[in-house]
Amino acid sequence: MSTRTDQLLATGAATPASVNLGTVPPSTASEKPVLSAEQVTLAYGRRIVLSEVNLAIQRGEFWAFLGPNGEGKSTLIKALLGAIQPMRGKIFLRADFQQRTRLALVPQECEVNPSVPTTVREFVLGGLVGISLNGTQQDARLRGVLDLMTVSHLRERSLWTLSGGQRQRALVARALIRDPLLLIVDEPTAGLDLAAAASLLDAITSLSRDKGITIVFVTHDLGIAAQHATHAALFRGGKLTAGPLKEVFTPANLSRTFGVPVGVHHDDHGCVHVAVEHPSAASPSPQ
Amino acid sequence: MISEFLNSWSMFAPSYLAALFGGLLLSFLGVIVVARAQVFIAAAVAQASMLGIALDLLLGTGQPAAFAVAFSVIAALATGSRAQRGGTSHEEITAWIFLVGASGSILLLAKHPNGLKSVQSTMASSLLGAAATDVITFGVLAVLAGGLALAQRRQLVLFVSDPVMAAAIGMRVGAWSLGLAVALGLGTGLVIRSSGLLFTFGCLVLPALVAKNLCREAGTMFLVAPGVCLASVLAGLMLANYHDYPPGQVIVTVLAALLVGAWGWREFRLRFSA
Repeated sequence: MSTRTDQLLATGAATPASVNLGTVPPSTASEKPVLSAEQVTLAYGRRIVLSEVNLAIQRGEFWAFLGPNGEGKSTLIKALLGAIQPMRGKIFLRADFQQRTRLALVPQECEVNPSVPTTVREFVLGGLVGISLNGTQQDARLRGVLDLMTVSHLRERSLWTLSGGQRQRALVARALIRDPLLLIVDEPTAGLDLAAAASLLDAITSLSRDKGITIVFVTHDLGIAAQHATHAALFRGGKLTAGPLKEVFTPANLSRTFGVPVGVHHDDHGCVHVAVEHPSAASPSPQ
Repeated sequence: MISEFLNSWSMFAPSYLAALFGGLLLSFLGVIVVARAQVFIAAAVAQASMLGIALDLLLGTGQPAAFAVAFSVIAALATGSRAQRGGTSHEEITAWIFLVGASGSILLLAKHPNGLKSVQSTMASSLLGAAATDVITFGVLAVLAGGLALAQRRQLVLFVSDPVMAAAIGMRVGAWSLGLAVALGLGTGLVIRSSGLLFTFGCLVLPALVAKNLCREAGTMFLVAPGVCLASVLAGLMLANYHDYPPGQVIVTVLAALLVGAWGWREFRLRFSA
């Protein structure tokens, strides 16, 4: 029923006031998880959604949360964000998340009230709520995240004149301006065309790989998870199967989660490929 | 016209200052109302205040401001309550409050001596009945509202534009909703008692709507809307004094004309920038 805050042990973690979006040293075995769940049971009223969830997310890991609709992915995200309390068990957060200054969310779509006039600059700076920075630091962070998401040229444009892909990039920029250690991303490619989705995914993947940002990525897309994630959590029947991608992505686990036969193939480069097996298909094709 | 207005200042100073400070207070609140697309809620809250004033008159308690504030705060809280999926929507509650406020204030006083006249005069907005206490109250509240709005501008913009994100990064959106509903009810209820329904509703929504069409960023609306309101109230008071028209109506007409101009400017800007 409680959330405990541990001490920050990360050696390379930036202070909340820093504008550092540079490379962060990889996580070490002795480092405490960014967040972990121990025997967590989540419920709405008396209806249990997830039971006895165990999860430990280390810095720099890219987690994919996968599963059919209604299996508790969003519920667990809400619990991680502190919006709902566990019925049983504990969620441990590192001390640097106590004020949530190092935590950011990219929602599924831009839910900003369209009657509010706003520019990309104002929208992205809105991500700094709760973080004390002077004007120079704010400008530096703004420039950094706009460059990173390749939307610097749109800085003074109205948010409502952007394409879907550009708006999603602005959403990610608003999250990144918090200089997060943990970025929770809820199906950001929904509604985007293939090119925009691929571009956005590459940008998010590079954040995990190059900047050491921990990513929790909610998706229905097995291909995206196989291509980008280092770890996966499969949601089915109120239970969670979680761990390194290669251990979790087995034909048995995926077939049980999605209710259809799924083939898994490991190539010579160590990459995982998955494909839904249809009766007419002889072998799985790479995603 | 200006010299005649200045000459009238000594006689009508409390009314003029109450209009200026009341308008300023409402214009800050109006930015939040307009940004949250709650113009109809503002109308319902104003009508609920009318019902409070009517009930005070019926009971003869002599506390119209307290009744107006109580009813408007209750209305603002009711319209701001969380809607449940498949349950009662905000629009249903807002429409109910608006209609009950509008009809109830007339029905309560239909057989009361001078009752209907009082209701009609409050609806028609007479700015000439303000007292020194109104000036002080509106002035203090306007300074508080302005100071808070400017100091918490980024939080306010995030809250009104994207409450999901606001909650995710630790803002207490429930407390913010409650605080803003109380502020809206308080401001509306106090100003409506001394300045009337038309002036109150006009200053609540029109300056913010003008600002919305002039501004490219929500944060700037908190600066532009009060400026528009102050200029319009001053211009309206001068015109009303010079032509001997009722000031509340003139101020609202000036604001409405400015809104048409702001719409035109926005269209021009969109075409020009395209």
